[in-house]
Amino acid sequence: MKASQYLLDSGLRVGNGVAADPVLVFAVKAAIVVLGLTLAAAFLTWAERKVAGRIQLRYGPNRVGPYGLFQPIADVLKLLFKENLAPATRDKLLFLVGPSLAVGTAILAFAVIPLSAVNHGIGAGYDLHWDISHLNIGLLFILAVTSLGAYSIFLGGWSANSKYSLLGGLRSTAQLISYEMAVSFSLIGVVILTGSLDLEKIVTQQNHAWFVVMQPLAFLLYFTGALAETNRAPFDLPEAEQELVAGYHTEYSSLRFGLYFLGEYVNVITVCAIATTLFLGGWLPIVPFLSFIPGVLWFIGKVAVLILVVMWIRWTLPRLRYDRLMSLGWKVLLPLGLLNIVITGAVVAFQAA
Amino acid sequence: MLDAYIPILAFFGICVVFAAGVPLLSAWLGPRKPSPEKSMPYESGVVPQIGARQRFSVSFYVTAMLFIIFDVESIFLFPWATIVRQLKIFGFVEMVVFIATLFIGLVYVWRKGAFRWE
Amino acid sequence: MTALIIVVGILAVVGAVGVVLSTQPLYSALSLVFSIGMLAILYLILNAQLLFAVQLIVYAGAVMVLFVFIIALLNPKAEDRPILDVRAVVAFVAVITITAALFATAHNGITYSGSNFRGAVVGASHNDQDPAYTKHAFDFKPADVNSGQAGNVQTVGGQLFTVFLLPFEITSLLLLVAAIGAVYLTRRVPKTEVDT
Repeated sequence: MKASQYLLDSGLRVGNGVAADPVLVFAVKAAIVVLGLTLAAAFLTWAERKVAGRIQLRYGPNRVGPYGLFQPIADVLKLLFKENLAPATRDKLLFLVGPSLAVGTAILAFAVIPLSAVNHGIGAGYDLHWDISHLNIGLLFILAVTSLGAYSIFLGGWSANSKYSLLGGLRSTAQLISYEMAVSFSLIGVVILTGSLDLEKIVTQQNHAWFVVMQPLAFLLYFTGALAETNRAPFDLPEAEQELVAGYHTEYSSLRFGLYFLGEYVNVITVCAIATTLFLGGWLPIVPFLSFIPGVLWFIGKVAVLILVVMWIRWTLPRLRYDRLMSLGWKVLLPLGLLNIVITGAVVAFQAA
Repeated sequence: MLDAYIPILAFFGICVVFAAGVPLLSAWLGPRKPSPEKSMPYESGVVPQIGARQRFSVSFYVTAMLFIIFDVESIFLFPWATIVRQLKIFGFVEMVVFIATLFIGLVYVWRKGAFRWE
Repeated sequence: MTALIIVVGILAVVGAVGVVLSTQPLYSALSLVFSIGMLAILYLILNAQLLFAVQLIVYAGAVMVLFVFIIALLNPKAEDRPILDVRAVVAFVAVITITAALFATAHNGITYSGSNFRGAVVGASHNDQDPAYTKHAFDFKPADVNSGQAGNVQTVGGQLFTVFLLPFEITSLLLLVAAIGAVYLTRRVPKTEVDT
């Protein structure tokens, strides 16, 4: 066979069982993920303000609806009807691309996270996976998509042609790439234990013990790195208001600003979902006799607890200085991540031998 | 196997439409009354004298460069991590050599002050 | 599938042309990111899932971030549009020749099998019967190479950490040299000797 022919045919030969959903199922799943994440992010702004209020001994929003629950709706409507201000000297195209990229990559990364166990054999031998698509390299896919998210912040900061935006964007991108590495290294410990990048397999292998028990260091490293990747306090240097006004989104207004906000909260949900999947047993119940509660609820519950911790940290810890922030990433998280890999690798390799 | 990526592609399309559609919606609904003051970059009330895009610290460049190096290392670690069990001690030793070499690099750039921000 | 390859391939070329034709350096770099993304999809179509992820994580997510950083660091002015002169014609002819040569190579098939270049079907060299791949002693056989279930992360890893062990370890030295080079190129006038 000619090489060119091989190149053109090989794509057809790789099919091994149908992995894609019927169109209708896909449409429902996609709608749930996009709308669910958007709504959840909107109400997280409410939750964040409530948590902040309680921590600072105030009420938080309590005027719009019961317990102020309709506050995010009011906020979105207000943003929707505001004027889009933008500096005249901006780069017109990239200024538009920035916020959209932030939200797009944040939502896309969620596509491979399984929310519950597979339901086998629904209908004619059809397996219902609780994710948009079930990839063998799910973990690498998430890393790939989030690494592209760095562009959104850089482009937003650079295109505005404003000093605060540019400095915020550069700081943030340098921070993102530094902590992205810490995150990758912390995930490798889990991959060594499971021998798989498939998120469903990673969860089912935590049947006996969650990986947070076997990989406590990796969990801490991941959580710290993830906080920095989402630009949350104490790592919210890019938007340090005392020095940079609002950082990379200084020049954004109206819903374009809202998109960066949405992107940040969707990112928080995504990193907490990844932490849940890899370290906290995903949809698995805490103790076996509680397994009558659907896996989805377990998953959402665990993610919610993690998000609460993220908020708690934000309103408790002061912001790091920028040089300390970079030192923490390179001089602490990175060597500890390598150490964790070597120890885990040694244990697994010697057990196998 | 490739079938699994078709939903991803479709979902990517949905993300693009959603992320591009929302700002269009607000551009359509919001008022538009431009003025020279409004379209000036924000500088705490001071009129900007020079453009924002000046040269900045070389430390950002060093960070990006070192990031590539360790990103490549992590990419090598992922396939290794999936087959440690099969490779056994032999695989572990070769990866220790690999990590040790790069750790020397980390210590070197650390001692040279590449992570020092001023 | 063929149609998909052609569409994605054309988009990749469009991105590459954008790199050359953009007058703004940042737009050139972003065109390259687009082109790299399309190449990643081509790898995926050829079922190289690991390569797909690596292409996005390392090239689009790391190397191009460095490019973009440098462009922002140097803040170069917009370039003039390329003009058609003798150099452009020479470059054009060279590009056409190389492209034709690549097509011819792909059509006839040339692969490297450890000892010599020879015409063969691409991919056949991964055959177990090929002595270049079976003479090594470590006898690594991933359990499900052919089942298609494992993805080819394990397959690539199995080859990389047994057959191609030496190149893999040399890579670490290469990365070490790169780290030293990066620090040397950006060294500052030393105020204090070491940083602790």
